[in-house]
This record gives sequence, structure tokens and C-alpha cells, in this order.
Amino acid sequence: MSLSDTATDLRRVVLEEARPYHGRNTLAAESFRQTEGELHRGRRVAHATAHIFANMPIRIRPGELLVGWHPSSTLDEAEQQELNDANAYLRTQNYWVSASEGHMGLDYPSILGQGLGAILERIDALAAGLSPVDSATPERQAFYASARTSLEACQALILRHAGLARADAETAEDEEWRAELLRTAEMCDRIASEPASSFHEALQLMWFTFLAVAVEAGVSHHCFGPGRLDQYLHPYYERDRAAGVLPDERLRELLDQFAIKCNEFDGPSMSALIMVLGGRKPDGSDATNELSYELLDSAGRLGMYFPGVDVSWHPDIDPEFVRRCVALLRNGKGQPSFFHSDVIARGLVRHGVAPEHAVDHLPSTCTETSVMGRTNPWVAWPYVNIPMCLLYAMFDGKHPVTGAQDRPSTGSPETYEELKASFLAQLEHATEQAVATGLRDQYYEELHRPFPLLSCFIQDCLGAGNDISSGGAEYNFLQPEAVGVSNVVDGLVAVRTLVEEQGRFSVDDFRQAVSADFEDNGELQAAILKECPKYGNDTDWINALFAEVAGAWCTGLEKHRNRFGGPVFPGFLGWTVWIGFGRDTPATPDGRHAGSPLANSLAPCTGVALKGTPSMLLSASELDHSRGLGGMTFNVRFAANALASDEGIDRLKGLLEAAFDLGIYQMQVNVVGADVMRAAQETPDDFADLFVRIGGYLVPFTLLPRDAQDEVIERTELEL
Amino acid sequence: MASDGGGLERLRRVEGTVFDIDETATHDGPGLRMMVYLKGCPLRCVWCHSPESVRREPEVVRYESRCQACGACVAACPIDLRSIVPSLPSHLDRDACLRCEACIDACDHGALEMKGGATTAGDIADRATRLAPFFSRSGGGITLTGGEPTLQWEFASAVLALCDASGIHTAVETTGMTPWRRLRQMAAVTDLFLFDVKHAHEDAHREYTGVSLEPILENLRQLREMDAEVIVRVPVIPGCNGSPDTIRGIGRHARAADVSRISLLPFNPTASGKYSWLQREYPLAGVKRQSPDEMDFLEHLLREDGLEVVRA
Repeated sequence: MSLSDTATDLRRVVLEEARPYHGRNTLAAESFRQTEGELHRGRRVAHATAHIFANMPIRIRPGELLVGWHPSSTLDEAEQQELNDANAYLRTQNYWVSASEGHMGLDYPSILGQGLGAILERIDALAAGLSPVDSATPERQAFYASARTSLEACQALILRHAGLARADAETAEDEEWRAELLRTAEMCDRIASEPASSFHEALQLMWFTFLAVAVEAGVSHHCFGPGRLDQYLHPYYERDRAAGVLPDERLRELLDQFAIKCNEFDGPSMSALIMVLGGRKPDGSDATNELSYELLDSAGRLGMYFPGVDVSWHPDIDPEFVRRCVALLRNGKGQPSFFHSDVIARGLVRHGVAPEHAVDHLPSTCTETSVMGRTNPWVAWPYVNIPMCLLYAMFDGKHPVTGAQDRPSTGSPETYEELKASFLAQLEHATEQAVATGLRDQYYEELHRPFPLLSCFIQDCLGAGNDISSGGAEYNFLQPEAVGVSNVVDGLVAVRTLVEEQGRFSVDDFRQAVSADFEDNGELQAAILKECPKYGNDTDWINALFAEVAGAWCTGLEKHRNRFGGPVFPGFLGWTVWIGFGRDTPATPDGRHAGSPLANSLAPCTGVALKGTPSMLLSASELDHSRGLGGMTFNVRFAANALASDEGIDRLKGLLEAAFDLGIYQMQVNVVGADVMRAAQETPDDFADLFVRIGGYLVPFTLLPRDAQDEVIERTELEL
Repeated sequence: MASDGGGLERLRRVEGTVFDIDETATHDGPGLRMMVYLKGCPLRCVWCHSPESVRREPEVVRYESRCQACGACVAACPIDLRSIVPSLPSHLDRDACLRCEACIDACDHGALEMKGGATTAGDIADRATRLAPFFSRSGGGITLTGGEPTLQWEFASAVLALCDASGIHTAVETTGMTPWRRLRQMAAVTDLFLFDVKHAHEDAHREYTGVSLEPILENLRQLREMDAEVIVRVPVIPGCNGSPDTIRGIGRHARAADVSRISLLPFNPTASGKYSWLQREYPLAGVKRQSPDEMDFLEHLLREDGLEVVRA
């Protein structure tokens, strides 16, 4: 089955037009200027949201079965000036968007199953039930008022679309299209307050609320995720299919149009909007269903950047579905990625999440952990530079280049054991600082950045009478990320090897070398790089050292609680920070030069000669990954031509399953095609770990002469 | 490792020369394979894909793309082998090289590497045992290849026996050019042979590979008499053995030896890159690979002749 003509057109148009909606900020500023005297922050934000919903442009593109447009801004000079003024004003009002917002999935089962009208009635009932003399009643009353304003505005936005559809129908020339528009108008009228009564209505109501919370938060999608679509849409799918009112063609058109809509917020960017397929049901059984297949096929047909497809793998998952997921990797778009559902659920349960909720996890865009519909995940904040802890440990808390006493004094180590002890002390300090930063920012967000509409859709802010920014969600996390763990492991390995075991160098030699960026210390650097063993090659004692270092980060965080009493999840997500941190980090004892990138997530250090993917995974599995709920990533490369056959798909499936048998948290596969190899020809240093098979075995691609590289590229393109 | 009164323990200590290990090969046997490349080969095929595998001893290779022709390697050589850099007066004499690695240590650009090093059967078997989860999930195992693994038959047999004792699927890729007793010994602990037959005719076989076809076919026949599982493989080289008649002739040899499965490997001109590592000219420079259609046609002929064509 291929894309319909309508979907093909929509796909093209959306890709052309997708960009953030900056006009939203102009409207927000207009509203904020009107409410300067308002005492309650939530009511002020709700007023702004209502003002945006009432005035944002709406449109229905020809052929759209799903409506609700995320407007794209193209600003003329006057509008740009107006926007600059608005943004400047909003800054004075402390109305911002931080990166830790969003990153969650809404409580779609309640939204679709109860309808917005019932949620509004619940707000009123809860507000009416407040005791006038309870000490918490004033803030709860204000919260309910802000929630009510926001939710009514959301309903009004849906009704605006009913009106637009009717107006468009009046001028529509095509009979069929006119009928479709009138159906859309009736549907919008209904779902503005009623629960969804069909698959189409469920998808439409899901989209409206998704769009609305995104616009409440800011100018793009803010990494809100549709999450487990194949679960919460399934009852509607099943009912309509059984009733014979959802033929294949209609179903696929709806799914394709939904996925296209997910691309309205922005072009490909360093952000994500994730749907999760597979996983387990609350009773523990495999959750894969026909809709999982349909959504996967839709992603394959479209080949678009959004939504990202994540598969929630577990040992009992439908093997045929996994085979289909692996086959999708052939298109070279890196989708889907795979998560070990049981590892994540085990970690969540350990932190007090109910087992039936723990299966409902979704990655908060990258690989941080959230629980659908009941979580404020506070992802990926702050990022902590772990190699700096090792440098401060070497220099008694002083910066190796500036000499400033940035960190506590932990002595001037002369032996490997002293260095390790000082490092662990510096790491402990860094974990405390990370929690302190998180607590501070959670406090300021609570002061300035309530989300009253979002709070209507996250369990159970309404029941608690408390905005999500004040801890109203059932689960509240904080997820700091450690960056550069592998650099520290290799640095400690080098000191142990060259100082303690061989006695060829002293810790002082290392100090001199890193402060001078290995200038005049070429002999030491060569010994580190060429002779010392490295993390990632499944060496027993290095595996153990890695587990000790990574485990210390976890232990340091796990003993603290976040502002709302919830757990602090240790993470190892590098995102793009490993590059940025690297720029500001002096040389490190693993032989890395100042300014070079740090290691990404828990991958081995850049440029390390590796035995292979299995050894890399065996090394990393020495840590209990269920402790790393803040997320981690594992990239493996697989040759495009090795995936050409069914046997090849089973081989890659076997590789993923074996990794998960080891307890690996997540796996993403880069299928190496000609495009990757061309990139490697351009920047060989970035592709030292790219291997191609020649004469049966793997050789580093970048070590081949140019003409041989060209041959390999040609062979790849011919799929030989 | 299971205890058997010390026999396996002794096998663990058998030494061999290996020039590479690949942990996740997707060819050369079912599933994900741990490929172990043993150094040394008795054949001298003009199309050899792995020229660095031929010599039995370790040898220094030079990566042209990294070499800055600075001469540090030359200066470091204690026996004055002069240069392994073509632009300098003379090349490394690999027959005289003592493998002291002084040149490798002297190179600041990572352009030199020793291909091949001593290892023990126990180390290889331990690695394979660590990879067992990957084998069991993919139906894979270990494959010994080379070079020609039977050239290091005691080491190869020890690795295979140790893996076999741990329940790991074992495969051997061989040219078949070896005394029969060595193959017979390995067959007891080998689940699958990938057995190369490179030409149909004695004279041509000698011309292109430097050795006689007869003992190879005799070994193939005897392996099948033992009921060993065998797939015959043919590297199809245009201008050497790629004609329909030759391929069908090879197929007849296979059937005569009671082999039913055959696999054709298309010519791979990318091997030229590895000749540059050894500062050698690629004998088949300029030869183009076959089109997929040509390969399909040859496979079709073999099927017509009653063989099962597999990709292995």
C-alpha cells in the first residue's frame, strides 16, 4: 500500500511550511499586558492561553480528514519587530519556555473516554467541594479557576474549527469534499465536550489536545509525545473494525495524515516527538496489536522525521512485529529505536511507581523516562561534566588551566588509589550540585511557569488541586545527566596502567600533560593512546571500574529527592552536550585533547579501537541499566547490504535480542549506506569506527585508499 | 570451562597466529558469526582478497591514507631495512623483517600496524563463550577462516574442540588444500565446512591458484564420506573461472563428491585497497565485478544441474 494522492500532497506541503509559531508570543504579550495586576500566576497564564486560542490563525488544508493546524510563522519586518518587543516584554514577566518542560504524554484514555465536558464538570465539582476554611483552599480555588479558563478555551478552539469547516463547506465545489467538511464540523461540535465515539473522533480529539498543550507551552511541540498510540486508540479501532465502519483505506489515510500533522511544528531539529509501539499491557501480557503494525507501516510509507518510532521490547513481544521493525531500518532513517521495557519498568517500580503504571513508560523524546499521563518528568537537567570531576580531583579542586579553586579541596593525589578516591569525592560533590540546580529550577518554574491546561490532562493534578508545576502530577521526577563517563574510566585506566603497574610515569606527569594539552608530553600521550587498554573491549577489571564510576553517579543521586518528593533518576544521556562540553574541557588523562568532544552517553571514547559491538555491549552491561532511568543510548552500525535478506533481518533481530538479554537499556541502529560512507570520506576523523567488509572481514573504511572507498560505495549502492 | 581431567585444559594452551577477529560477521555461516582469521595460506590465487593473510608469520602493513612519508620508521629500524615507504629508496623487505615493531612505535600517524599476533586457543574460546548470547539469539557461532585454517591445524582443532564442548556452533572455511588427516581431525568438532572449489580443470586451477585441484577434490569426497556438512563455495572471477562452463564444471565436481549445496561469491574488486597496505600491485586491477544478472544466470545454471544454491 502506498501513500494516497491527498497524503502525498499534504506531506509535501507540510514539509515546506513547517516552522515554529512565533505569533503565539505576540498574542501572549498582548494578554500579559492586559493582566498586569492579576495576583495569581496561573490565572494570568490561563488568560494568555485563552487569548492565543481565540486569535491564532486556523485553516483546513484541502483533503484534510484531521483538522487543527499548528500555524507556521513567516514574519514581515514589522511583525518581526512586534515579536521582538513581545519577547522582550515576556522576559520581564518571567514567562519563558525551559527545555525541561513538555517531554511527556497526556492522559489520553481519560481525555478520549470521558470527554472535555466531563473534565470541566469535574473541575467545577472539585472547586465546589473545597472547604472555605481549609488552609490550602485559596490556591486550589485559583488553580481550578485557571484550569477552567484554559479548558474552556481549548473547547472554544475546537468549536472554531467546526465553524471554519462549515464556512469552507459553503464554498466547496467538490461534493465529496463538502460532505467531508460537514462531517468534520459535526465531529468538532461533538468532541468539544463529548467523549470520542469512533476511531476518527479519538484521533481528532487526541490531536486537538496535543496541539493545545503544545501551544500553551510555547512556539513548537516542546517534545510532548503521542506515546502509546497503539494502546489508547486500540479500543476505538477494535470497535469500528468490528462494526465494519473503518475500512483499511480510511484507517491508513487517517494514520498517515496524523503522522504528517506531527511534522507541522518544525522541520528536522534536535528535538523529537515520539510514538511508542509494543510493550506490555498493565496485566503484563504483550501489548502488540494490529494497530502497532498499522502505525509501523504508516511510518514506513511516510519516511518522515516526526513522529519518532520507539519500540518497547520485552522477551514476550510478538517476534513477527520485531522482524517488521527491523525491516523498517532498511530505509536508512534510523527508525525505529528499541527500548528494553522490562529494564525500565523494573527501575520505575524500585522508585515506587505502581507496576501497572510502570509498563506504561514512554521515552521523553531521547531516552529519559516518563510514565504516560501521570508524570512531570523534568528530563535531562542539569547535564554534568564528569571528566571535569577527574581534573578537579587531580588538582585539589582547582581548574587545571585557570587555577581557580572552583570545587572543594580534595587533596593532591600521588597514586592511583588516591586519585580514584579524590575523584569519587568530587563526583559526590557534583551530584549534590546537580540536585541543588534541579531543586532551584523546579522552584522557579513553580513560581513563574504554571501549565493549567496541561494540568487538566495529567493525573491527577485536578484531584490534588495543584498545578503540574507545583507537583500536582502523580509522579514527579528529576533526571540529571552524566556526560563523559567513559573518558574518566579510560583516564583512570591509564593512570593505573602507567603509574601504578608500570611505574613509567607519575601522577605529576599526568598533571603537567593535561594542563599543557600534551604539548611536550607526546610520549605520555602516545603511551595512553596506544598501550593502555580501554573501556568497551570487555576487559574484566575495566568493566568493573566502569560499573564503579557509573554506579557512584547513580548512588550519589539516588539518595536525594526532588522538590516534589519524587525520585532523582541518574542518566547518561549525551544529547549534543558531549560536543559542547568537550569544547570547554581541558585535556583529560585518557589522552583526549582540550576542546575535543567527550564520549557520547555510555559509548566507548572516540577513536578507541574496538573488538566489536558485542564486546562494547558486554562492557556497558556491567552497570545495572535499570538504575539509569535518566536515559542512555547505544548506537550500533549494521551494513545496509547485510539487511537485504530475511536471514539478515533475523541476524540483526538476534543482535538486538542478545543485547537485551544482557540487560541493555536501549539500542539504536545506524544502517550504513552509501550516504554515510560519503560523509566518512569528507570527515574521516569522525568515522574512525566505520567498518566495511572486504574479502570477508571488516576493515576501517577510512584506512582504505580513495579508489577502494569509491568501490565500496558503488557496491553498497548496487546492494551487493 | 568444563573439567575433563585436563585434556581441555591442555588444548587451551595451544598457540596460533591470528590476524583479526570480527565479532558480528553476517556472512560465512548461519546467524551472527565470530570470525577468526588465521594467518597463512598454501594457495597463491591471483584474485586473493586477503593478501595480508597469505604469509604464515605476522607482517607489517602500511596505511597509505595515514602515511606522511616522514621517514621516522626508516630511522627506527634496527637492521636498516630502509624504507617501507614507496617514495623512499627501497621497500620493506618482509622476508628479512624481525618483527621488532620499532617502526610501528616510531610512527606518529598510526600508519603502520602488525597484522597477526600470537594467541592461545583458550583465549579464543573464552571470547566465543562471552559472545554465546549473540550466537544463541541469532543461530550463529564461530567460524575459523584465514588464510587457510588447516595450516595451523593443531591450533584450529583446539579452538573448535573447546567451542564444541561449550555448545557453540563451529564452522571452518577452507581451501581444502591440506593433508587429509588434518581435515579429518577437525571434522569431528566442526558443524559446517565452507569448502572452496576455485576451478573445474586441473591446469587452470594450477595456473590461477598455484596448486593442484586433485587433492582438494579428494578431501571434499572424504569429508562427505564422513557425512560432514559441507557447502561448496566458488569465488567467481571474471576472466579466470567465471564462464558458465567452468561454473557448471565445478558444480559437477561438487555433485560427484555428494555435495548438494553450493554458493557463488561475486568478484569483489575492493580488495585492491589491501594490496596497497603491502605495497603490492593488484593483479586484477581494472577487472569489473559481474552484474547481479550475470550472477543470477550462473546460479540458475547450477540449479538446472540439480544443486541447491545458497548464500553462505
